[in-house]
Amino acid sequence: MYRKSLGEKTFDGSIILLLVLTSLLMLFPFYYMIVISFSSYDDYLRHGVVLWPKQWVLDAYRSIFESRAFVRSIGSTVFVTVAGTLVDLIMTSSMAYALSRDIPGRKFFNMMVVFTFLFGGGMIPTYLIVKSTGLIDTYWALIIPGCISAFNLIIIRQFFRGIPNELNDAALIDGASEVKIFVLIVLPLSKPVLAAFSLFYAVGHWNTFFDAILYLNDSTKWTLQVVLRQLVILGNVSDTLHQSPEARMAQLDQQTPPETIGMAAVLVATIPILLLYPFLQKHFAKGVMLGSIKG
Amino acid sequence: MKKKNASLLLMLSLSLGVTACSANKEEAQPTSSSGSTSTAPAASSAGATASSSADPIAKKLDISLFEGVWSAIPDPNGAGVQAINEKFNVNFKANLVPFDQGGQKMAVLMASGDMPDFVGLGGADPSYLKWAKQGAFLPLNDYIDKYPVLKLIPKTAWDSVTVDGNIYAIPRFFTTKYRNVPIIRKDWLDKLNLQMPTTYEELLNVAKAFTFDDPDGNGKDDTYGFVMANGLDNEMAMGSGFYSDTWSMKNDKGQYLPGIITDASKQRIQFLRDAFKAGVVPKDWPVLTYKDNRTTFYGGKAGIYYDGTPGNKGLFDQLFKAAPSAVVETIPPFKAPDGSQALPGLSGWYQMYSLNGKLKNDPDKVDRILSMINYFATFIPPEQQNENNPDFDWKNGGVGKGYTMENGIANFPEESLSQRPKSYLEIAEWAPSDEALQVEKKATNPIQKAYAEKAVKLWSTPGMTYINPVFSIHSDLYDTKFWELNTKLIDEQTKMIVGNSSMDNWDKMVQDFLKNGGQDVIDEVNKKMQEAGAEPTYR
Amino acid sequence: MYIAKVWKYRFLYLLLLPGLIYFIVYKYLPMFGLVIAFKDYSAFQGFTNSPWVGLRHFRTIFDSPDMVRIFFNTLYLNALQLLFAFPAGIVMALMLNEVKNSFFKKTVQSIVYLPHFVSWIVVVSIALTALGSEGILNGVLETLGFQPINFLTSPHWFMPLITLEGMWKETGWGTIIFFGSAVRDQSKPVRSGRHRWCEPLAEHPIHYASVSARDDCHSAHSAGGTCARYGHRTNPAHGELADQRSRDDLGPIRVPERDRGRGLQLRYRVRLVQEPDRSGPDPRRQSLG
Repeated sequence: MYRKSLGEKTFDGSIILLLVLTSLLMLFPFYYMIVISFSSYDDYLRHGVVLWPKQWVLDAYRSIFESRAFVRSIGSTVFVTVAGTLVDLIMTSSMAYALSRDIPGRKFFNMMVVFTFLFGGGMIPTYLIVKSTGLIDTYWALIIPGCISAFNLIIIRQFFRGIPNELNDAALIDGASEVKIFVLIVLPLSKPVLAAFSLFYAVGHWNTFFDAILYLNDSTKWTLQVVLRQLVILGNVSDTLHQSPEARMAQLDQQTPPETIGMAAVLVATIPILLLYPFLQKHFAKGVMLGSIKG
Repeated sequence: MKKKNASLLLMLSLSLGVTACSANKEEAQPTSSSGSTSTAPAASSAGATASSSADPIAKKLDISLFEGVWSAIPDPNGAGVQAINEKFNVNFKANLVPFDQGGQKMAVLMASGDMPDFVGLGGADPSYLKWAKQGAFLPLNDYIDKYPVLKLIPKTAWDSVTVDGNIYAIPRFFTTKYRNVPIIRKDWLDKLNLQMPTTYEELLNVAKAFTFDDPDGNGKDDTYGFVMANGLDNEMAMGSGFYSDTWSMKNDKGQYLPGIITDASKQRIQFLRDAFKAGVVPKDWPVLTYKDNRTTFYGGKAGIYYDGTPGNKGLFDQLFKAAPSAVVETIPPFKAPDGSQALPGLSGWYQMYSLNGKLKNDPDKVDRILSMINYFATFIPPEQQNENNPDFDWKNGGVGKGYTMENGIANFPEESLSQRPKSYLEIAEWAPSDEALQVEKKATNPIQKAYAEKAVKLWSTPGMTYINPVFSIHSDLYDTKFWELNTKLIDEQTKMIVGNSSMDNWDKMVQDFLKNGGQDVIDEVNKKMQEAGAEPTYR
Repeated sequence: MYIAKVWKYRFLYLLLLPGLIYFIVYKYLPMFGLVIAFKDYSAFQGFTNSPWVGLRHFRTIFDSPDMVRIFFNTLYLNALQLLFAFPAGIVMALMLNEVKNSFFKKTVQSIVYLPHFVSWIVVVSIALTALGSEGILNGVLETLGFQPINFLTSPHWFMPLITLEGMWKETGWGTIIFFGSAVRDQSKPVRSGRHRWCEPLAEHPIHYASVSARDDCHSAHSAGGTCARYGHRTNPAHGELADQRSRDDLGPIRVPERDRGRGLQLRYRVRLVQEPDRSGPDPRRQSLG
């Protein structure tokens, strides 16, 4: 271990300073949300945003957790997230692996995938296909139509290609079949990438909102985000170009839920998925191929 | 490299080829749909006569509804829907979604042919007109006389939803009066010894006093004259003549003009500009929203804002907590350049139900749906809105279960939302007049009660309500092009208010508007108004 | 022969099959719906019977007078993003890599990815509190004796502000990807002549995706039906760029919810792809015994 020069020390020091400042900057809004969600509505109205609320109360959280619609939606969301992520990973990694090897027709299939990057069918045609494959009003409508993201597929495919051919050749010489190679060698080596994409897919499923409203007619099946979104501060409405004065009055007449509940809803909606990252983190930072090639 | 190009080309040509093919196929397709329905009516009418001679209610029907709703969404298996099923002998499936997503999902449902038995729509907007012309909805002209409530609906409302002579929707009631108009803290006026303003000059002085003279007496410099938000929310129009959507002033060709480009608006924008300069309104207002403003005004920190009658209960409760001695009053309208001194009225209806065009082969269903709508829309006078009226009691799920009575006023708690049948078919009752609603009786806290009583009295003054002729016509250009141009105008006016642009640009702004299609809009609207014989009226 | 190769790789084709079916059914079949861009579509006549109108709808879009300005605004915004937002994630990941203390590193990592989950609506209200004319930052500036700056209402600040907000939101999230594939063991000696920050970039295939505004627009759309930078959206002082965000609806073509933002506006994905250098001897072999 050699001594660091002064230059190096300053460099390190300023990096640490920068990181600390950035962390504080990014942490601040969460603190803001936490403070508001634990304040009573009266306090919030009177004092607005404070650093430390007069009283920490659970009112906002109580009204969320006591709602039956909310409790039901947890079940749907957890199912869709878990099952969805599994399906996504299996589908994406298997296709990615197949396309990473030099099989005939590879170029054509790759083109097919890339092409979907540029063009999409649109909401109505997709709805019609989902309808004709019988998925309307089932949870599978939230899982299957988006199970492979072309973007993710390409990245994972590239990762698989990065695994040196020597590995595969060595395994083939040892008598392993293609099946064994995929399952026993390639997949374990791909833990960081799979972990990363399971996170991305999971976040996507967790945040399902509009698709739930579109494909699920039965509102008892709705996901967390749908239920909670009704509690969050909404901006101006309007899909239409112009809101008639009557519509405006109807909108204004609504008792808007207190901001305290809104913040609590945002936190409840995001914290569970936030916690996923630390669990997956240990898979991320692994030196991938150290030691796998000997001699 | 060649291989790559080849496969790319192959794919592109495949996709284009199929696209082209499906386009050309249209001539080859026989119109099979008309073929199949020609046999069906014969069968079902025979069946219908058979069942109607028996007992039409006896058959349990599946009825589906789709609607985007403002209120909270009830449980699809709630007691309210069970009650509906029992009473009308139906299997009622109400697919209710939040209002924001309603429009999008509706578009998808309509485009994919999945329209339920009936749908709730926002109004006679371009989508409605398009779908009506495509034959998606059932014409209802022949049914109006058969149901008491439908007979009560005024002709103007029916006219608004008529397309090519056919009525395709049932409008739902809304008040003509009681629109959101400016309100003021009367107690602040009194404290500062000021009179209720009657001109924009006086208004500016009042606003300044509200900001700088500590009207709430708490020793802090924390009040605003008034609050505004993005999009010119709270445009401070003191009377119908000043509103941007009023059509009452004429140009020298004798055409009515939209309020936003008239001198009345110019006067108003000048006032807003002066007010901004004087600091009586938050400097950040272009990025604020109406929610921020409500918090400010009802938190007791601003002197002027707007509300309807009787006003938002939750907000008035907030005000009561923040400033128990507050007194809120409607600002009586100023005299406007068009000679009027009135408050702006509404069209008298909002939202509507349309029935699926395919139901023309199912008169039983049509009858059942219309009966349901009729029942829910029948007016229950305020003095009967309690447990003694069986309809009121049933509609709201039974006293003690779906609602509670407190001091003679019915209270509808959020928890029992799914107990109330009304939550599934939230149709406003057709009242014989706005006064019959007795809205002032709905107010509970003293500030709101005093405000509502005075407001109702003001609105009831003869000639006080301006009826906009535009309510009686359909103009495609007005529905679409005008509002695109309107956005531009609002942007320009915002710039003038904050000082990024000079008031001298007003004429140029108007000219640009006219040039870019505004004159076409004016021409079409005026033509339609003449055809319909519509003129500004004051009730 | 071709057939022999296909047989040899038969398992791989099996792996490929489900994905292929998925793409055909859920991606390619709906594309035929694109045909409605050329038609006056009506559900009651169906896809094949609706009258063909050729390029009429396209003309309507491009006829809008604001088109040119919106287009250039989009380009400008994209350029800003490329210059600043894209490198930010890489820089941050490299900075984190420098840190020896693994507790500090893990903590910071866990903090910086949080903003990704904050919905845009909350971001805007925070921006208001922090940067508003009566907000925190201006308060600090005033106490220090400076003039308050109109961050939110001045037209010059709009583009930089959007870029900065985007960076705040997505930099940390971006480091996850980068970290996933590029972190290396610190104890290995570096090849001479190169700064050690070049190693991670060179050794592994890196696919760094900068923020897709699709994500932003997705959460924003879901939240309110409009692209919720509404604070800036309809602020005329900032121009009408963000106005177009909510007009994802190109006439009869409906862009799917999760793909919003793919229109003319912020559609940008940047990938930095570096295949490992297979020409020389395996660098890893050098460091092993």
